[in-house]
This record gives sequence, structure tokens and C-alpha cells, in this order.
Amino acid sequence: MSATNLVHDVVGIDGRDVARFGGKAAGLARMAAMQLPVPPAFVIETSACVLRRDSGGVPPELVADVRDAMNLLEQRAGKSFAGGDGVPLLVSVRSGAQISMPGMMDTVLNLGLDVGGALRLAAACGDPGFVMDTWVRFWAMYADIVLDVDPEVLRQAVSGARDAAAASLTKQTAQAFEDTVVQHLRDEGCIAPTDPWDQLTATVEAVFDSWESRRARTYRKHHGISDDLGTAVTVQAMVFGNLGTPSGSGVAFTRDPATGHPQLYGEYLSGGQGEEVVAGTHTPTHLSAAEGEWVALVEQLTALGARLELEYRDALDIEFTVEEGVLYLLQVRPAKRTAQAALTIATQLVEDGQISVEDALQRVSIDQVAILVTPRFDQAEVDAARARGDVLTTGIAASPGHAAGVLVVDPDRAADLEAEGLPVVLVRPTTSPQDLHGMIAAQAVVTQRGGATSHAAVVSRALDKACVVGCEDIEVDLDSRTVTIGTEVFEEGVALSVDGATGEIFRGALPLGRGRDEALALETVLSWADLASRADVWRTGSDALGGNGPVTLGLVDVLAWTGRLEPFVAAVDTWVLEPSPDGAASGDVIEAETRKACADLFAQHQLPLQLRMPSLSTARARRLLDHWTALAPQQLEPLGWTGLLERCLAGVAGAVADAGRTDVAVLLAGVTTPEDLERFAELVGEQSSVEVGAVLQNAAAVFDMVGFAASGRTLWIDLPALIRSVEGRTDDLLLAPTPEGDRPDRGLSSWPLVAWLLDALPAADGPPLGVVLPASGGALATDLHSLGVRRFASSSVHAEQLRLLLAQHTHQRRSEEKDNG
Amino acid sequence: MNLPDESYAVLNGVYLRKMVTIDVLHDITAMPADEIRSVLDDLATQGMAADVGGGNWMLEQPDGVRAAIAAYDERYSDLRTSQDVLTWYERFEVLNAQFLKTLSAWQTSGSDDAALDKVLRLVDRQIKALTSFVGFVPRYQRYVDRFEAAMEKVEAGHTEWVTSLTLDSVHNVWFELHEDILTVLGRPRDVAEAEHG
Repeated sequence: MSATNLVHDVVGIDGRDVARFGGKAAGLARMAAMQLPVPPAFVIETSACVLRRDSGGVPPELVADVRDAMNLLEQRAGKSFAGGDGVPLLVSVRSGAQISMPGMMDTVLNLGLDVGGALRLAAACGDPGFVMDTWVRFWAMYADIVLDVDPEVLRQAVSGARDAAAASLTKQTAQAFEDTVVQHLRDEGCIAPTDPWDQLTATVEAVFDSWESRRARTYRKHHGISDDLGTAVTVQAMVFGNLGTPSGSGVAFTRDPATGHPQLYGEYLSGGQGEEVVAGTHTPTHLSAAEGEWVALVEQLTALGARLELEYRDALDIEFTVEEGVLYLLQVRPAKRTAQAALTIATQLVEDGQISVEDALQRVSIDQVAILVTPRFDQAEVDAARARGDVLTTGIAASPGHAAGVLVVDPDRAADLEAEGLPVVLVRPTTSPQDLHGMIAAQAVVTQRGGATSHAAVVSRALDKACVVGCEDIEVDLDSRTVTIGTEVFEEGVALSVDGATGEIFRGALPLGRGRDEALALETVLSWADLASRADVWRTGSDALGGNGPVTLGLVDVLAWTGRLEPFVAAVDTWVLEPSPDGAASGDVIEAETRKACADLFAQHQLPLQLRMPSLSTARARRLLDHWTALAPQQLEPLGWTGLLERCLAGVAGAVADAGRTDVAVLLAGVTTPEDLERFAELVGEQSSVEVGAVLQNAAAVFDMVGFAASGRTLWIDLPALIRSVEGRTDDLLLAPTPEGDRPDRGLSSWPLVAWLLDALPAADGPPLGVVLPASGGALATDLHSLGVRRFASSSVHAEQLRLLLAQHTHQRRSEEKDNG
Repeated sequence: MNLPDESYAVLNGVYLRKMVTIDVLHDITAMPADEIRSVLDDLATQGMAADVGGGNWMLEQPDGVRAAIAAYDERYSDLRTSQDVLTWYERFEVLNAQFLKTLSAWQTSGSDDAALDKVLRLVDRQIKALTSFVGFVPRYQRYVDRFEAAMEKVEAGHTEWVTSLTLDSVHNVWFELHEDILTVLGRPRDVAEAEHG
């Protein structure tokens, strides 16, 4: 096609050669190869970018080649660029690097209008208002992207001239508009060409320049991407949904993006442009309600959608336009979807044999799992509340999430109440940076004024917190601490519920929980994840028994969970004060309570269980025992009070024998040497069906990790406890998820102790070694997994995310290994 | 009352952020921590600021807040009638509306690079606009520096520096600047948000 061999029709280029043609053109080539209807386009390949940089300018041959390519577009589209008769050819100009990066020029649309072109386009579509909007849009994008002039200021400066030309489009009004634009740009210090050919050249140059922008260079440097890759430029004919009949634009999803249900879903606007569908200024027609000539078009779209799904093996979002009765696909990409839909689509594609289980695990994100496990309002309760008329008002849904709490109008009081453990809904006229502490403390934020881009909305999204803004029915009175909704007055302290996705504010506190069906579907996907990662994720912490999956936790937690902690603690306290040799009476109570607690637990929980024996040296023991100070120092040692330990072990063993369980282990926490562990094993007794293990919580034990591993027993490294003691930091402060969802675990692997551990672990040869993770130890878990650790314990709320994360990490490592040969 | 510049910088930092640590005040003012501490101690002695625990400082109501606003009045009331300043502010609001819109678009896009790029381009424009404004309010150079520092992090791929509330992120700096310029012009926040929010 060209003298330089740098400019190519997208029909016929290799759609797999993303390095040469960039992602956009490669995608178009793939679609063209499938005989899909795409508007004609050509690409200037990436090496032109490098050539221009090295030779210091665009070679004249390249300009000539672009002219030839434009002539071909004119023929294909049956339109003429910059002059001539009939419908003017307008084009989009896009950058297309192999890897997308910040700093790259995005897109200029509608390039090709001048005074004559505007008049001819108006004659073709009969809508001068549309022509002027198209033209303004071009200049705004050209100003923004090519000239770096604020597009909004330009829009404001030319709005009068635009309105005059839209009211009566003549050569004079069009010229006046163009003059106004040029003058404004001159005032901003730019010389703006009005000839579309010059505009095209300048835009292509701007794309190449953007490759050299400081931001793109920084990004490449940081990510080790070569500066010599260059970017391609894709130029494509624009089609218009308001030329001829039938015409129109729309968006189709191959599956319902809310539920994942496999059925073509979407809408179109007859005689309208895509942006009108997006802007919501016109009411579109649902694809399933198509009439007349649109019925055949929708059938065509359905068939194309099915073919595309087979090619892309994913649910897709298809932007389309019909011009003069011809259907064009403008963009095809994986569809955005809700967390629920992501799960459904992934499992259905596996059932349909379109993707493997490994692929399915890449189709659900960690964030989506987080959403799926986040408690939500029970749908039946929501329906009932709506039926009761408990929806007090509906504002603008600004940040999704369900939350209930007490009404508070002052950020300081919100922070105080939260500190007391009370969930709070903060209701404000508007929010400002001075309200941040209250917003962080609140479960949900509601404002009287402001839109989806207000401070409250932006901050709530950053905080990942439910937020509803622009509740016009609400009147907040800060002095009287009341909120009037409609005619009803609510005082601070009354319960409200907020749905940040629908914008509804409910009376009262709606119960929060997890949907049963969703939990089952999620478990299916996560069981695939476990197979892929070959990892065991155990739950730990006080809420571990709420989920399903193996559990490792303290006997004290089990006693608390079964309501038997009080008599147990009382018996220990008595025994402390009456140190009779065997503490017969107290010991009997301790053994009996332990046995009953375990029996209750086994009756409800069939999954593998590892129980940490009580340790008297913990802050919790000190808090629980009234007579803790009467304990002899040596009793605080892990094996310092064997009498107590023996009775606890006897209780566990009895319950295990009664239930016939073979998957229960007892763990000794705080051991220092492998000999401690062997003494503990003797206490348990070799005949017992209970497995024996240890939790390593101090540096001395971890330094002898190899020696412990040689014992062949179950071992856990309790990382939060280690970090607490070795690094001298409190793990809940540093390692708990921060309010806005930052990931403070990023640097964890570089902490001295953790770094040492990562070095030393491979030497510990033996049965599976488990690691108890800190609250947000995701990145650390993948590092450990790379070293061969396959057993993790995580807080219950993070367990599901961790399971998927480990599977995705395994997949990524495999692909990297494949790439490296 | 004539506050020295250092005292004003600290007082203003506490005023703009309401509840603030010395670390954050260091980000805001670029003053050494011990100097900040001594200014805060002075303010506390005068009953204008208080350590409310956890290393957080707040202004005392009403004396501290009054002093902060009085300091603005004293320093900037001349600017409030300057046509250049008002024109600059109008441009600020145009940029601000675009910034909020693009930031929301980025937040709801699932971290789309093109959406992030739009945010960053607006910050570039804000930096340019601020550079032309430091003649009026010299301390605004600090906002330029802070924007540049945050952008450097974002450009290196640390996108938490866009909206994080605990870092001196682009978003934090922008909102603080907004609060600041409104107070410079003597306009209450609520009115401005109703007009532009």
C-alpha cells in the first residue's frame, strides 16, 4: 500500500502482531479477518514512531503514504475528506502502543470538519445542532490532546458562536464559529490549523510526541519497557447513526452484565449517536423490543455476538452504529460486569467447554471476591422494607455498599461513637476535607447536596464505603442535631440503612448477611482455585467458625464460641489460688468443659481442625484471669503448668474419641526448642488419635526451624506474633487493612525478619509447614507460595480472596516460566 | 494580631485539615518537625490549638478557627477584589469540575489507564495554573511541589497516590488547595459547593 511500507490497510495485516501494529489496529484486523463489519481503517506502524524520533521529523514519504491511505478510506466509505462533494469523511485518530501506559495521547474524534464540511454534513443529516456538537467535540479534543488547551474553557468561549450556527447554519455562521475557535486558541498561545489535512498531520505527530512525553518515559523506565517499541497510529472512518434510514447507535452485551444470564442484552437509539445513549438524554429502545427494520439488524447483531464470544471466549460489550442501513461494529471488548455476573459467566463458560478451569480463575478478580463475601442486606428484608414504605428517600447512588448504623450529623460525634463500637451513618449537608475523620469512622455517608462527583462521592469511593448524595428531600439541621426527611423529623441516634448502589435510605437497621446461592457458586470456583494452587487456606481468628474450610484456632475461642468460657476460666482461677497437687475439682471442671465444647463444635463442624492449647502468657489470659498475678513465673512457660495442659488435652482426646474424628490436631503455642514439642507429644500420648503440632511464635523457635521440621510434626509459623515481637510493632496498627483499602503489605517481604524467613524457609525440609498471615498479607502469601509454602492461615474475611489470589499467582508464574522457555 | 509566616503556615495547615499530625503538617509546610512542634506548643499556650491524642492536633473552637480566618483576611483581603485573581479562580473552578468528573470516572472505571491519564493531565494543568498564581500567594508554590511529588509516585505506578487519604495524594492536595483558595477569597465552602458541586 505504501512507499515507506509503514502505512497499512487494517484488512490484511497480521492481527497477532501487536508489537508492530499496536493493540487497536490488531483488534480491528482480527475483526476484519472474521468478516465482521468494521468501518474502514489504516494504521501507521510502530516503527514509524521510532523512525521519526531518530530522524527528527516525519519523512515526506510518510506524509504522502498517509494521503494515499486517506484516499483509500474515502473510496471505501464513499465520502470525501477535506473538500469535494457529498458527505464529508470524518476520521478518528488513536494511539496504539503494544502496552497501554499513562501519558499516551488518547483519541481525537470527528477530525475532518471545516466550514464546507460542516455545511455538507448538515445537508446530509438535516440536523445543524448535531453538526455543531460534532464540530465542537472535535475542537475540544484537538485543543485538549494536540494543543494542551483546557477543553472546557474552549467550550465556554465558543458556546455563543456554536449556538448561533446551530440555530441557523450558513457559511457565515459556520465561518464565525471557526474564527471564534481559532481566536480563542490564539489567545491561549496556539496556532491552530483549520485545514483538515494539517489537523491530521498535527494529530499524528501529537501521537508520536506522546510516546516521548515525560509521563510515558517515566512509566516505561519504571516497568522496564523499551523506549524503542514506539506507538502505532490508527486512523478510522467515522460512521454516524443519524445518516439515512434505518440508522442509529447502541451498546449490546452478549450476556446480562448484572446477572451473567446468557442472552443478548442492551439498547439502541434509532437515528441517534452513541454519546446520546451514554448521556441518557434520549430514551433508547431495548434490543429485545426492536421493531421494523431493526428486527433484522438485531438478529444480525445476535449472530455476530455469538461468533465473537466463541472467538474471544468471554462475555463481550459491543458498541455498534447503523449508518444508511449498514451495521458497523465500533468496539468489542470484554464486558464490564458485576461480581455476581463475573462468577456466573466464568462457571457457565467452563460448563459450555469454552474455557478451562484455569482460565475461569482469571475471569473473577480478587476485588470481586471481596464484594461477594461482603455482607449485604438480605433481599427479602429489602423487599419487605420497600413494601412497608420504609424507603425514606432515594438520592444519587455515589458509592456502592450496604450499611446500617445510627444517624449522626457531626463528624466529631461520628468518630466518638465509632470508637465506642457503634456503627454510624453520617448525614451531612455536604462534606469537605474537614469532615474526613467522621467519614472514615462512619459505615455510610449521606449528603443533602452534591452530585456523583462531589467530595463526599469521591472520598467515599476512595474509602470503599457506601455513599448516597444529592438527597433533595433531606434537610440537615446541625444545631438541633436533626434530619428532616419529607415531613418527618429524625433525631441523632435513630437507626438508618443505606444502599449505596440504589441510593435508597431505609428506616431502621436492615440485617446484613451473605446470599446462600452466591456462597455455593463462589465455593465451586474457589475449590478450582485450591486445585490450581495446591494450597490449603485455613481460617483463624474468632470468626473462623462462621465459614467453611479447615480451621486453626485457640481452644479458648472454641470455649467462647460454645458458651463455656466462663466456667472454664472460673475453674482455672480457683486452681491458681489452691495449688493442690492435681487440682482435682478444678481439673475435673476444666476437662469436662473442654470435652463438651469440643463435642458441640464437632457436631456442627466436620472440617479439619487444629486447636491451639491455652497459653497463660498472653494478654488475653491476663485479661480473663482474676488471679493471673498469683501465677508463678514458670507457670507462664508453654509447658510450665502441665497439670492444666493435661486436663485440657484429656478433654479434647475424649471428645475426639467420642466423635470418632481422625482430623484433629492439638498445637502448643510459644515453644522455643524441638525438645519442648517432644515433651508436649509425650503429654498427649502416642496412642492418641490426635495429631501433635506447634505454633512458632518467637525468634528462637524460628531460628531453629530446621530442627523443628525434622520432628515431622505439624508446624505453624505465627507471623503476626513474630512481627509483633521482633519488629516491635503492633500488627493491628500496621497490618490491618487501612480505611481506604491501601495495601500496606506491599513492603512486608522486605522487613528484616520476613526477609530472613523467606531465605531460610527452603531449608526446612519436612511435612507441610503452615504460615499464619497478618491481616492483609496477600503479597507476602504469594512470595511464600513461590518458595513452596502450601499451607496458610488467614483471618476469615480474607480467606476467600487469598484462595483466588494464590491460584492466580500460580497461573502467572506458570506463564512466566513458559515465556522464559 | 500579626502572625509570623511560620506560625501562620502551621495554623493554616491545622485549619485546612482539621485534625492533623505533625508528619502531615511537615508535608503541608515543608518545615522541620521540631519547628512545627514548637509553633504548635505556642498555639496551644495561646488557647488556639490542642493535642487531642494519638498525635493529632486540632484548632480550638472558636479562638483557633477565628485566628486562622483572621490571618487569611489580613493577608489576602486585597486580593479579593483583584480581577486577575477572580479570573484565575474562575478557571480554577472549571478545572475543579473537570478534575472531580475525571477522578470519579477513573474510580468507577476499574483503574483504566486512559481514565487515569485524563486525571493526570488535569493535574498538569493545575500545576501550570498554580505557577502563574504564586505571584499572588507565594506559599502556593508548596502546592506545586506537593502535586509534583504525588505525581511522581503515581507515574512510577503507585496509583494509591491518586486518592489515598493517608498519603499526601493528588486528591488530598487538590481538596486542600480548594479549601485554601476559597478561604483566601473569603467565600464559605458550602456556597461554593452548591454552585459547583
